[in-house]
Amino acid sequence: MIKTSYSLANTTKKKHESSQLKRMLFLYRYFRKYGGLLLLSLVLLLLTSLASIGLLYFFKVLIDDNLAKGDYSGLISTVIGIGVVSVLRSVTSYGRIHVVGLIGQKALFELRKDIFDHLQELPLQFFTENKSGDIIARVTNDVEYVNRFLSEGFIQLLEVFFNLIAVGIVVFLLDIALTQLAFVGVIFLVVFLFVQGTFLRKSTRRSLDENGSLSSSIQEMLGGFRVMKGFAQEGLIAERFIEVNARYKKASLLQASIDALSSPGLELITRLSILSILIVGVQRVIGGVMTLGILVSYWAYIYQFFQQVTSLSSISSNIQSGLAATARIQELLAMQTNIFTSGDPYLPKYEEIKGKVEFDHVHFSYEDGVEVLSDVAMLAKPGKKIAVVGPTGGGKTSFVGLIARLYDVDKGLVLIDDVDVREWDLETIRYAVSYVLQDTFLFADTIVNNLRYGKPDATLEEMEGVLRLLGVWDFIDALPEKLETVLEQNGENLSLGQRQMLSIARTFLSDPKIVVLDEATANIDTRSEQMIIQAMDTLMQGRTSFVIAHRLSTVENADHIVFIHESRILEQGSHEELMSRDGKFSEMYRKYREAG
Amino acid sequence: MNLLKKSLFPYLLQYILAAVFLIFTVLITVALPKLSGDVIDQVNTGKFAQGTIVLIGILVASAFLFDYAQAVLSAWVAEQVAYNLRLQVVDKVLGQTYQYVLQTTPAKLLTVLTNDIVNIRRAIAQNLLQVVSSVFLLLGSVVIMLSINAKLAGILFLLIPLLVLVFVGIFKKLIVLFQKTQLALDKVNRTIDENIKAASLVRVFVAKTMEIAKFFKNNEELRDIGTQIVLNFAILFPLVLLIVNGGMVLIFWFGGTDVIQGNLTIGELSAFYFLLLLFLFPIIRLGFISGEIGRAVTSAKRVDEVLKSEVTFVDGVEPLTSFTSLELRDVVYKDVLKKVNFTVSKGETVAIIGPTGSGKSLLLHVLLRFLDPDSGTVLLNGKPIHEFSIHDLRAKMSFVLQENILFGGSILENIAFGNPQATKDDVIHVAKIAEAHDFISGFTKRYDEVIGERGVTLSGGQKQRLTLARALLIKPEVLILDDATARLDILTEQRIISNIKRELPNLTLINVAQKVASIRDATRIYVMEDGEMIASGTHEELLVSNFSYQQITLSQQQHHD
Repeated sequence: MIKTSYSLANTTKKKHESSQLKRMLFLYRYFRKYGGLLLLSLVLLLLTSLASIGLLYFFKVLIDDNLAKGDYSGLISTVIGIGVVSVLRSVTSYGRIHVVGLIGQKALFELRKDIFDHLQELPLQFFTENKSGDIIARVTNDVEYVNRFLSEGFIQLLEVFFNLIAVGIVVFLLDIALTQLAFVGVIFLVVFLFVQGTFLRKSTRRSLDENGSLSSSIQEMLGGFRVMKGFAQEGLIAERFIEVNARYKKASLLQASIDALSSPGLELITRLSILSILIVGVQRVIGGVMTLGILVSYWAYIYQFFQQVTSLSSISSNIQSGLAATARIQELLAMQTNIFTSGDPYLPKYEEIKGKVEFDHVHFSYEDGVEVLSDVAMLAKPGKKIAVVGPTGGGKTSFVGLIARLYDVDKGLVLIDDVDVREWDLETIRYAVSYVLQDTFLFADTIVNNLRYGKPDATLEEMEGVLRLLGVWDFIDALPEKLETVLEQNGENLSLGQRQMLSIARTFLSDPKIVVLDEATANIDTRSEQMIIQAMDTLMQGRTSFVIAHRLSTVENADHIVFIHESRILEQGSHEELMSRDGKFSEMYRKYREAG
Repeated sequence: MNLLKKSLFPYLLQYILAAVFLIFTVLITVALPKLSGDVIDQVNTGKFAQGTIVLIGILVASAFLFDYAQAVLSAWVAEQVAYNLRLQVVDKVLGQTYQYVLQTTPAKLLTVLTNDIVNIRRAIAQNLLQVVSSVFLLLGSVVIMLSINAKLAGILFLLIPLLVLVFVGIFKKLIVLFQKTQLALDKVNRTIDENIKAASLVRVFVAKTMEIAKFFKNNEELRDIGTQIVLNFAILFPLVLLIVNGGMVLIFWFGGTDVIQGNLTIGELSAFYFLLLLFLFPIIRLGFISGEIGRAVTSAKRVDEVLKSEVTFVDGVEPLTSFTSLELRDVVYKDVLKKVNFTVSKGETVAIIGPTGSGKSLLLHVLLRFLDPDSGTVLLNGKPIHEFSIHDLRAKMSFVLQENILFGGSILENIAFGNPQATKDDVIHVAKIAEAHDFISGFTKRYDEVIGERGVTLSGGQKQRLTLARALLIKPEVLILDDATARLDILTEQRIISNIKRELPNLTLINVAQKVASIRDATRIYVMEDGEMIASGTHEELLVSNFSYQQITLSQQQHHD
């Protein structure tokens, strides 16, 4: 069985970058539904371009007809024409920016939503294989680049494109020979933009990736601050940072040097083209093939034409970084869950779920060839309490994780109420099975909202009931804001033990049919734990429970004990059965008793 | 602003050179329309001279060289400054206390090191020089316009106050919106960050819809502010364009009249047309740049705040050759530690037990000098602890925290964290003491196995054993354990403790634990409750004398009988 890799860094290294066209099409998907508005903005864009051409036309009339012939009244009407067209152009361009802006913001909203929603569908492995700094960068930083691509890149590109076509037609009509010359200039520009753009995109991609590493390195330094201080390893951390910092500087400087070429390069080609047009034009005027008026207005048009092209330099930079960022977003969105759901899921009424759990010759691994669980079989009858014991690293956490399909088995079956968990409706199963996880996590929110996490409609009375039962009500009641107290990030204004108590309360409030406690009380003092154990006897009534703990009391109370050692269930049965068997478990149990 | 000056200073020469190159570029840019106008007039009057065209060609080529040179130079300077600022800030933070990091919050420090420094870099690479070029462009075009026709130039100057008015009006609104964006972004970041950290929780509680709704709200806020910003820009650009076109109308009106009356040539008027664009462009750009520079100045202030933060930590000079005793006298920290007294002498094993939230971890933070007490004294070998060199102190005292903090990198690097020069044999030796060697040997790459950012591929008990091995590697004289064996079974724990006692017979051990079994043999046990030491003594003494301790012990024995 080949395990899927969820590492984003791997996809980058393997150069699985999508093609430019695919990236464009991907972004286009977000605009498709605004077809009408998009069309409107294109019409407005066209009108703006026409108005710009109109202005240049008036300019030609002004010089060739009015000024050259000294026609004063003609001058006045031309100037009025310029004024009117100017107002029209401002109105259409206002309309266009307005409409495009609205669409753009909506599209970005959808994009961010899609990424975030997609993250919710990804399996746990994705989050263990990737650095959180990099994931966050893709949702925020990279979307920001797409934003710039849309607002200051793509639309402007369209505008330039329209203008170029319009002006191109006009200059072509004015003078074919000069236009051929201009065309050569355009070819140079396109080649330049293509070559430079390719390098720019690649260097931008590298700089974005190095930026991700820099953030991750800073996050690690701040997160491990005490460990660093305590081992006086500021030097080592500084050394590592200097390396990442230098790598980022190098990537960023390379990107900047390539980006710096855009504007001067385009200017150079533009000016040389204009200059050659001027030289040839002058010769033609001197030769009498062309009037001066036509040259001047041609020159004005072509100036306008190339000015549009020059504005491509910042557009090009925005487009290249936008496309580089799009590739990073697509990589994330291409990750697929490996927890597949059945097309016709088993969906029992919640009250009818009994909570019978069965493992049938289950094999499981995180990476190829390293089995974390081998040939595991057990049966938990509804409402029974199962103790999962054994040395750390033996596979206990993975074992309980398979029940609610946090991971799927490689081989064998996990059944709840005699139905393969993969046949179950995934949400129903996760409602039915609730965990108190080893790593306690609380949100930077009020205690109430944290408790409601598993059951959004839990009443204050229900909360108070559970908290009283667990013996934590008094400590919460003593807080100035009581249940409305806002917790700091990860609840750091509480002790670890207090955090664990809240997470236990949260789990029981969600009213699960099957409850899993994974070392839920490790950092709680034993007197509080006593209270919690008693409370749990009440709370566990009618629920099947799996308890991982190192304390003997848990084991003695259990209906069934599963002893997991080195990926296998070595022994299982009731406490009496295991003790009378005189195997590994009873040996361990005796040693524990002597020790404790 | 001071910070900007100071950090720019070492590269001033290069930066000035960049500015000079830029000025050349600008001058050429200004001169080109005039020269082209000359060519047309020469043709018109039949006095066409090739020299002008050659001159234009030379200028065009040198403009390219100057422009590219200045862009690369200023980018180089900006990167150097950003690189140095990041180093300075990291250096400062590394020298700061844990207290400082807690108060400033890691989130803010991260933003300072990334966002804020990027803002400064952008200002140096582009905006500051753009001010120079805009001013020169403005001045240059003014001079040329005045030289061509003072009346027309005067008309154009009338447009300036109008443009300023428009910019000030709209930017006032935009700045408020920019600030709002920053706050909305903070919220978005926090939601995503929490969502990633709570990935398993979200799945276990089927909280997908709740998380999606939470993010939806943040996202909507961002969209609404973004829309407002876009709409303001939608007004700004066409309005500025309209003013510029208004200027054009005036030029053609008055200029055209002058041409007809013979006071102005057609070439001059068309040069004026291009100068109009050239002249208004820098004004418009200055408007935008001022926003960017404002942002950079705010960022520079935030960076400076970190760099100028006072280091309350004072290192001592007294060398610490060997440990004899550690004592707390009436130590108070906020309202968590209330006049705590505590002593430990060389070779003793001292334990602290007490309910959740009683202040045990904080007490250890004070012992380790992570936090300095508000009042009271910490005595090391009978002298105030701050008189000793922190370097010596760290070399003698080691610790395992309650949270299992590991770094990215291999297992080997993590265990050797306290002494990167340690040999692999040293690492294996301590891993064996910490009962970690066996499970490490089970990994495909053994000691070279890389652990994730948050060390998630390891179980809680495995992480605890790695942090124990790391603590032992520096061969400490004092070892402080904060609930460091909570995730280990009692047998593993006792094996580890006896391994430690065997390998480091003179070790002084300070052990915070929940299990009486783990601490029963301690020389002295402190019972801590609600920030106070309510009793101390041996296990046997406390069993007789202290009610709380009796309760704790009883709670752990109940189920045995």
